[in-house]
Amino acid sequence: MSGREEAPLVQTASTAFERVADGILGLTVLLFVLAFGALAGILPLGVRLAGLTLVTVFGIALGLLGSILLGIAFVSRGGYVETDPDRSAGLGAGLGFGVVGLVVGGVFGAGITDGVLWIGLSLALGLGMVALTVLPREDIGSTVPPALVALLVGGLLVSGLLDIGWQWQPQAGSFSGGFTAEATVPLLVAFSALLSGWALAKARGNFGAPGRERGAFFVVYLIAFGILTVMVAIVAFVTSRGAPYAFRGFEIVAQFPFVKWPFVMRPFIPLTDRITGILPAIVGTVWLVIGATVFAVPLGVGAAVFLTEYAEQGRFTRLVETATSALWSTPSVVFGLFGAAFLIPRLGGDRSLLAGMLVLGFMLLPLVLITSREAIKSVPDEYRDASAALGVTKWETIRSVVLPAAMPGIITGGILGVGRIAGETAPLILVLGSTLNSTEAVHVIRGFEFVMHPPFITNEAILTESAALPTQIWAIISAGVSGSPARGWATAFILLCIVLSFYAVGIASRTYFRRKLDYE
Amino acid sequence: MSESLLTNAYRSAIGENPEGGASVLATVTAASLAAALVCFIVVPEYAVYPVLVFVATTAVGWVKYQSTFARLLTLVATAATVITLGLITVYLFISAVPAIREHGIDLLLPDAMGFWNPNAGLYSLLPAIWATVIVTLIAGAIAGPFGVLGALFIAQIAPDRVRAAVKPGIEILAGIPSIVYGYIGFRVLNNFVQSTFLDNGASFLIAGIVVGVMALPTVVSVAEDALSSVPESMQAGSLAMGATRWQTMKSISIPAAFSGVSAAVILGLGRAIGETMAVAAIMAAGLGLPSPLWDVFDASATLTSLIATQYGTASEMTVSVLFAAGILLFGIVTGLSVASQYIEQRMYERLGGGQ
Repeated sequence: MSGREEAPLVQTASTAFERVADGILGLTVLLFVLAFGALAGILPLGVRLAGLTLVTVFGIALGLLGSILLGIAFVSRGGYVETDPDRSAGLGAGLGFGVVGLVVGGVFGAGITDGVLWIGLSLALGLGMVALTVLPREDIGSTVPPALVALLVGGLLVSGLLDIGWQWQPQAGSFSGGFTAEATVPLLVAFSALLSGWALAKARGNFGAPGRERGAFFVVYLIAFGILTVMVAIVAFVTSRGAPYAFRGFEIVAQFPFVKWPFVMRPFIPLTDRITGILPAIVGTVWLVIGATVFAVPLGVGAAVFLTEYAEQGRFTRLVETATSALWSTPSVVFGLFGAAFLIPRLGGDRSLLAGMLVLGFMLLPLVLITSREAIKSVPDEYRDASAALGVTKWETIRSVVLPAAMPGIITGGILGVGRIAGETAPLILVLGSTLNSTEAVHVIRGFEFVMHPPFITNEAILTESAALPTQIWAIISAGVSGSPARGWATAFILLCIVLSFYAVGIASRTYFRRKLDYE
Repeated sequence: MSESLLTNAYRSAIGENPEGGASVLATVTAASLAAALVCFIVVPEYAVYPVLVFVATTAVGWVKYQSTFARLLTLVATAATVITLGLITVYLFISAVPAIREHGIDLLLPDAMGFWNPNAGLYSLLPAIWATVIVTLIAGAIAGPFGVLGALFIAQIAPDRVRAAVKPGIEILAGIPSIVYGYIGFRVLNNFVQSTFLDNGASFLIAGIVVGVMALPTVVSVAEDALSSVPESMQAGSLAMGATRWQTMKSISIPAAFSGVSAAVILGLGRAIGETMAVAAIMAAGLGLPSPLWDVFDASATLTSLIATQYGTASEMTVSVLFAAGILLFGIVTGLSVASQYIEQRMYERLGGGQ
């Protein structure tokens, strides 16, 4: 109709207020990242930016953030900007800031007064913060407390009360450690930045339920990327320390095997200045994995087949499920104890590769069982029904229809399981021993021989100790100062490569097959 | 109709309609396998004879009566899991009996003269138990909240492309072996802590943080699975009522996935308790109760690292005490596992399952 006004349902154009808030939010994130850089030692606190130390820069930035938050509180409460706050910031936020108040009050109280006066100060500040957060309207209750925290920390940093070289060993509580500036300043800055960012995100969402959503999302995004950064940093760190040493002398050659990689292809050779390697450890790990797989995979797949195809759901299946779950969560060192108590006396009385294989096999069994069971269960019943309709017997169906369909899932589970046991150390220490500089790799295939007395077949190689990658690293650790750090990093790097590539292949194949099955 | 247990077992092993001589051959196979197991436990050298009989009968049976033997062999494989658990429990107890008989409850009590002096026959597991508790609490404080938040991010908040990159990333990073963490802790963290926390590095705090970081991907993966399986209809209904996505998550998704999320946290705690190598590498020396008890900057071996580090040089009685420590560990973790299964079962019944 003519003359009808069209009001937009949702505000899509961003106002100046929102753009400014976004920019400051970015500043908050930057502050957070820089603070953790300082904590990790990448950014020393004394580095100068435009003539000011990093500490002072942090202090100024926090002071700015605090003032901006106070400004937002004023602007929103005064009605200069259209916001939609709730009547209160809520008890959750109140409790959070109450705890902050308690801690600040306690710390200052313990520093200023003697005796138990600090408890009173702590409680007073805590309750004050709770009141400040809960009683006023949401736009004041969410912005003023974080502003106070930011201004307090910023003030401490700018005024030099909390500067490089500050130390504190708290007497109250008699901890045996203390706090230095290198740890405290970055942590305080990160914490204040987090709180300010939360308040800013709330403001950006105009308070109310959408504001709370933005605030929560900001915090969760920050934490999630923090977790990812930590994990990636670990891998990057090990690579940076280990790869140079591991790749020494690496070159591509013309004939088989086309690479010359001393660290991986040579054992330790004492008293030489040639580049020596960890071949025995790698061979040991390979044989352990092969032995464990040969033992555990048939048992696990067989059990999975029985549980899904043959067994009726009842007491027996529940018992097996409980047993599998218990086995799966058993600590690895307990498997090592079991191997030492049960297997070693029966396999020659000494630590041996065979005992290691069997112990790792016991650890692999529940993993294979659980994943195979999932894989077999997810084969659609239509396949089995169609096969039965054609007159095929049950076992034939399992053999020719169900198992091939479930094979991708089974293989994926096997790969992930192998990735897990390849890195296990604790059980191997108990049943395999930890060899430091092994000069010869085991020769398992050559070791088989027939004998006249039971058990009629023995293998010298698998009944002796052997090196393995994880135990080698442990040996370097327990050697203390005489262990070579570079060799340790390089061995850790190789182990990490092997284990992570197993996991990567397993997860990639699982995603691939899941997509294929979903498509059907 | 009352049927004896034996007939039931026989029927489930052989199936309803065994062919001809299959039942005889199957019985012989089963008997030879049982005999092999018993032999292996009692007189290992002669175990090879029943094994040869087993191999022979299986070979014949597989060729002639394949479906019966397939069923029998898979049943055997299933029984193997239960038997393994039984064997582990039995042998842990057998090996710990000397220590329990000699020291009994003293193993868990403090002594005026110290805690661990094998030469003087002085054993107390109390500091190790307390160390395990402190490290697990610190690790849980890190892995629990951050893990659930991370899972929330992946399952609900992240856009699809970010999710497709982050989820496999976290699962792959879950595979970093614990000895690598231990090595990093050993070489780097102890020095870092020395300069920033005025402490000599080996401390419950550092070990707890490292173990927490290790347990984190476990919690994230399992909690993420639980959060993704909340039915779309529940969340869509909430959004249709005008709730924001965060309100939906807080009030609908998390309570609905509560059993899975709590199972994830318990799993993470179980992993933290069982963690050996990182703790052993970081808190390498000594065993003692921190004074005061909550001093997180002190260090002591936990139950797991005690077993790993002391086993190599242990006398017979010490070995037995270590087995007693192993029983404690096994009991605690199994208890946690049973508790988590119970919680899941209760939640399933309460919230109405099938989704």
